[in-house]
Amino acid sequence: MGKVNDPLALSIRAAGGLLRSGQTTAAELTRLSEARIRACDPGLNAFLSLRPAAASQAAAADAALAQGTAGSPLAGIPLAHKDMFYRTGETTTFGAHPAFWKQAEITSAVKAGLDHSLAVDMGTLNMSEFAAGPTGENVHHGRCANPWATDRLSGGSSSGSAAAVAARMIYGSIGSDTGGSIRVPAALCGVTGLKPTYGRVSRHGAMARVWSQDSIGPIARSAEDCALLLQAIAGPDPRDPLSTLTAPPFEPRLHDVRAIRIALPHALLAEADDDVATCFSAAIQALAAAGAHMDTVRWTDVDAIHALAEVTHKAESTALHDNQLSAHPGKYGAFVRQRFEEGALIPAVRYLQAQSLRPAMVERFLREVMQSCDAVALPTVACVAPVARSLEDDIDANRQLLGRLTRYTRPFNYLGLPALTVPCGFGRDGLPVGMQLVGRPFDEATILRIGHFYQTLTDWHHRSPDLSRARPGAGKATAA
Amino acid sequence: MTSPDPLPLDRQCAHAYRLDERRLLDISGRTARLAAQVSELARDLDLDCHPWEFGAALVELGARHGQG
Repeated sequence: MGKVNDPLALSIRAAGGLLRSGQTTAAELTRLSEARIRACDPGLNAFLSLRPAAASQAAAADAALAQGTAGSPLAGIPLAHKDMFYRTGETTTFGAHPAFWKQAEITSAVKAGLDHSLAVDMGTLNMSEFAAGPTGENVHHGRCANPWATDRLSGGSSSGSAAAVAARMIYGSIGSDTGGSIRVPAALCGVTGLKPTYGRVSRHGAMARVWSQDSIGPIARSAEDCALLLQAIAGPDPRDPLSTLTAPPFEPRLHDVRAIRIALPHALLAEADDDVATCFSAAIQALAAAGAHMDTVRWTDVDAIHALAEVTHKAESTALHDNQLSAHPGKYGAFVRQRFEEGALIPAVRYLQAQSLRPAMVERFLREVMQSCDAVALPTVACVAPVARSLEDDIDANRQLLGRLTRYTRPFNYLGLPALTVPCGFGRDGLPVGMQLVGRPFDEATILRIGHFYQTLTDWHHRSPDLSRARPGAGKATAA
Repeated sequence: MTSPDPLPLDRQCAHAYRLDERRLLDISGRTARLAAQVSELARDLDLDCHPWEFGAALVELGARHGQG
């Protein structure tokens, strides 16, 4: 292989190949990553901190690669993560006011898993305050800008994760998803993101948002890279009992190209903007032309599931933040505070009923929507990235935007199902559009297989934004 | 000595979170609408539903409905 122009534009798999063949080193990739971050991040505001310890992690990876003891494909690969996962001795901000920052005394299971793989942790990434909000706005740390157009929202809450991966600062990132927080920013920033099945990844050492609906998962540039990251973080952990249930282990089967059957909830598609619908239809046609079978299905429960999810979100958010909300209301952003207050009057009976209905709702979804299909496909977000404008003081407009951005994603947190977003084209103003693929419980392998198959047919995931026009401070400038 | 009766729940909420009357009404209204929706959905809830067993239910449903 000749000299690679931009190693940071490669996939994790390809960069790992360069490392193993001795054509580059982890130290060199780490140096390039840091240089890209220093050059581009002033225009994006994706990073909250850079870790000096990244250099020593890279040196350890290089030593293991030289000795042939680096077994993981992530060895020596620069990553960075949403700032809600603990690492012993380091500060976690949760995207919140400094009063809430925490010096961690443990290392989260996901960071420990990636350390074990000898990945390099470049630093911490911007996020919505307490992972509450799909826009990427943050009144404490400044807005994370969208690399495709810095006046647009990046999406959230894993805003920095999606923006940094899209801007080729890092190869991948771990985020969290409670209503769309991996999938929405990944779609709006033109990258690939996976919300695993509820319980697939240990939440030990991670901030809770809505514990009954939180999933931790990867954002990267391709389904294949997401599979590599998921392999490193999935699996049973006695410190999160949910992850110890006897689920089948995750085993990627990317090259199994049996006939794919995909369900399309037709009525729901009509809610998407025209440009999003056009990109999505083209993606479906590409899959169909390649041999996938498409079935139009009716999904009548979506509004009911939104209501059930809403009751759960409200009650659990208020329960988590009750003490701090009453003691320090001024240390929350106005919109987040208002959202967190709203669970105070939810009757316990209704919360428990919403929880109790989950298995029945999942069973109905599997029976009525997925009966004869491997996956359900729909757009990830109904619109391209909206123009950023502070809505802190306009709760109704903010609520409306939140509902629009999470319309297609939130139901699958309530249902606990795995969901993948892959880039599927560009809509108005040249902004990315995502296609969402939803799978059966613990069947991440199938949606990753379909996503990977789609990415062998298209090159949307290889497109990168032109960052030369990103002005320093573009993100922070529009923060409230 | 017995303590005085606590405030009604909505007043406690308003006091704790320093909500004005308009905001309290807004939250009450939203909560009432959502609670009514859930109540309707739960009308036929089976008596053998156990809210804390969702994780196990997902494993079981995944096994029963097969994987692709």
